[in-house]
Amino acid sequence: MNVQDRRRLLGPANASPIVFSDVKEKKSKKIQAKPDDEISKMFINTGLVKNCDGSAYIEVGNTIIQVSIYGPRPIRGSFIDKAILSTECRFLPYLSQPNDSISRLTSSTSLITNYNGKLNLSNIEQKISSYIESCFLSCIYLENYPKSSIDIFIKILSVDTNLLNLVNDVVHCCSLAMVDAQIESKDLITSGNLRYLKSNNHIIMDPKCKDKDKDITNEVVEEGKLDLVVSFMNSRNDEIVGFWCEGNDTLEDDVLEKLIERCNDMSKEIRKNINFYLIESLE
Amino acid sequence: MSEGNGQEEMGSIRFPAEILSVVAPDLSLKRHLDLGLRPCLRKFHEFKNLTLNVKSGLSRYDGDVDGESVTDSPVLGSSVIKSGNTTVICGITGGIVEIANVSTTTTSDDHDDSMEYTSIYPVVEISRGKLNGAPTDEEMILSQQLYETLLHSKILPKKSLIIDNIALKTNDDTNNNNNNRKRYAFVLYANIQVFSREGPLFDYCYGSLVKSLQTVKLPFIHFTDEEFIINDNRKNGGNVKPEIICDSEAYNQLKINEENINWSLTFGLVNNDDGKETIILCDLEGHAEETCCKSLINVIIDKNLKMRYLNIVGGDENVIIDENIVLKTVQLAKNRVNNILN
Repeated sequence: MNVQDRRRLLGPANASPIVFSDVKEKKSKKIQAKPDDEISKMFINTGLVKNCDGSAYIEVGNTIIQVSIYGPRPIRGSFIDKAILSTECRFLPYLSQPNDSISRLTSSTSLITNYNGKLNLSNIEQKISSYIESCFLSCIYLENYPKSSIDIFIKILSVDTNLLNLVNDVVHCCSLAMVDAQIESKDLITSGNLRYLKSNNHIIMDPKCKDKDKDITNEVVEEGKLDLVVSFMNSRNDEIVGFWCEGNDTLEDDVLEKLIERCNDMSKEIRKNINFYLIESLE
Repeated sequence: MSEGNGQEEMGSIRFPAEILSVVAPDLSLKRHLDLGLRPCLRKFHEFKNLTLNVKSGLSRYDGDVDGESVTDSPVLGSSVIKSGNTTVICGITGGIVEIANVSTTTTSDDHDDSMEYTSIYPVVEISRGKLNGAPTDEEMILSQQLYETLLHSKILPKKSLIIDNIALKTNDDTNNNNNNRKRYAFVLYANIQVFSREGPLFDYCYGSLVKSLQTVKLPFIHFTDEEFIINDNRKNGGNVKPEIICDSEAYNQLKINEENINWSLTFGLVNNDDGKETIILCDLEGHAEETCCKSLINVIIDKNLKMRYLNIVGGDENVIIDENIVLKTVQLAKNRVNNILN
């Protein structure tokens, strides 16, 4: 038995992982039907999980996200004048996380045999958690909830997209859960996600394609590609509450301005949909 | 300061049903039972709706039947169970372990010894707003119970997991003596996620584990020769040279003892104060029922409607568990299992 963790049944310690040979490329390819200037359809639902204060479920393509919010709930200890916000994002342990190869390059993790033995948050999970936390810190009226804590738990049940596109969906899911939990906020947060290809000055809205690990790690580096997520409070003068940009090229001021504008357009479009859903669910 | 007679009349406090069930679960339960109902508004012998889904899309081979290809998921079998508000997602992954080189030819007849059967190593995670840390008692107990129940159910024979059809990538096929060759077997792990915890969790977790096990497919295995190096960036970002690799597409269905497939059911026993009658409640649900029902009967029934396991906990001067109660419970369980498994 595994001696490192006696609280979980992790099986024999001398087991080695199952390593699969590469899936043949021609078969694993899926056809992308979505035009570049269109936003993917999404399925949203709130209040599915009953033992929390607010929950939301979102499905975009094959990506499935579930968010539960616990709070505001009282905390022990000395008095604090505003609520503590904490966020935890977790993938199902056996899912391969986007950009996983980069995070593994920097850590000394070797091949995983039993996925149940993964206890700490991975770099990707931490990054998503901190992005969501920083977005919602500036949005929630924390001072209205003294001596309490608000905990956001994000569970990624399935992922079939790139990292920033996933973050985009997570933001929407958290916003919906926040409404379901009836936590006082300045506004609802929505975001826009773009991919900018510098060579032909082309913008792909809501890019769903998966990043191939090879592109990021070593050999083939695509020319000028930038991914961007910008989160807004659209009913409060389009205030920006979160900004995440990744890519392998420089970003000029005028291009940045244009990209933020396009993100804002996308954000507004999604906001309309979410508003519609919320009004419908009230009736 | 209010002037008055100082004897302000205290109005009665009225709680909604869901709050009363937390504040005074016994009172809530009693009031409902008096009406012939339960706090969850079901009848005494009414089970919750149950939805089983074994094509959840989590598994590597789920798309294979539809003509699509396999995915890069390491999940070998999976299932999703939804009952009431509770959702249980189970995914089975695997590892490879070296086993002692024993003779494969068994001389005597197989007499059903538990040494010939094995189990899955499950980890249950119940989402209840707890930050990352040690598993709760409930999670640990459930995992251990699942492991042991599956082992003693004799569903998964050890020999089903032994890898005996390894394709060797070597030149000399002439001498095929297995004597000094290592032998390997699969080992299975399960991750069970529970959302919206409610009701008899063991039943759902065990159900999802058994259903997932029925879908498990084991990949074909081959040894690698010296030159064969796979570029596995997803796992550790570098070139690795594993001794054994699995075919990305070819697989075998895991052979299990279908005859021993079984299902667990938990019943609560309460006594309505008016009489001495003990009431059987199916699929306990909600705070009032779970906290007040201290007497429980757990029954496991197999596919052929034979009882495999019976566990009775509790019983006191109020809740009398006699032969009739046990027989009635087993009968209820058999009817239910007949609906689910057959």
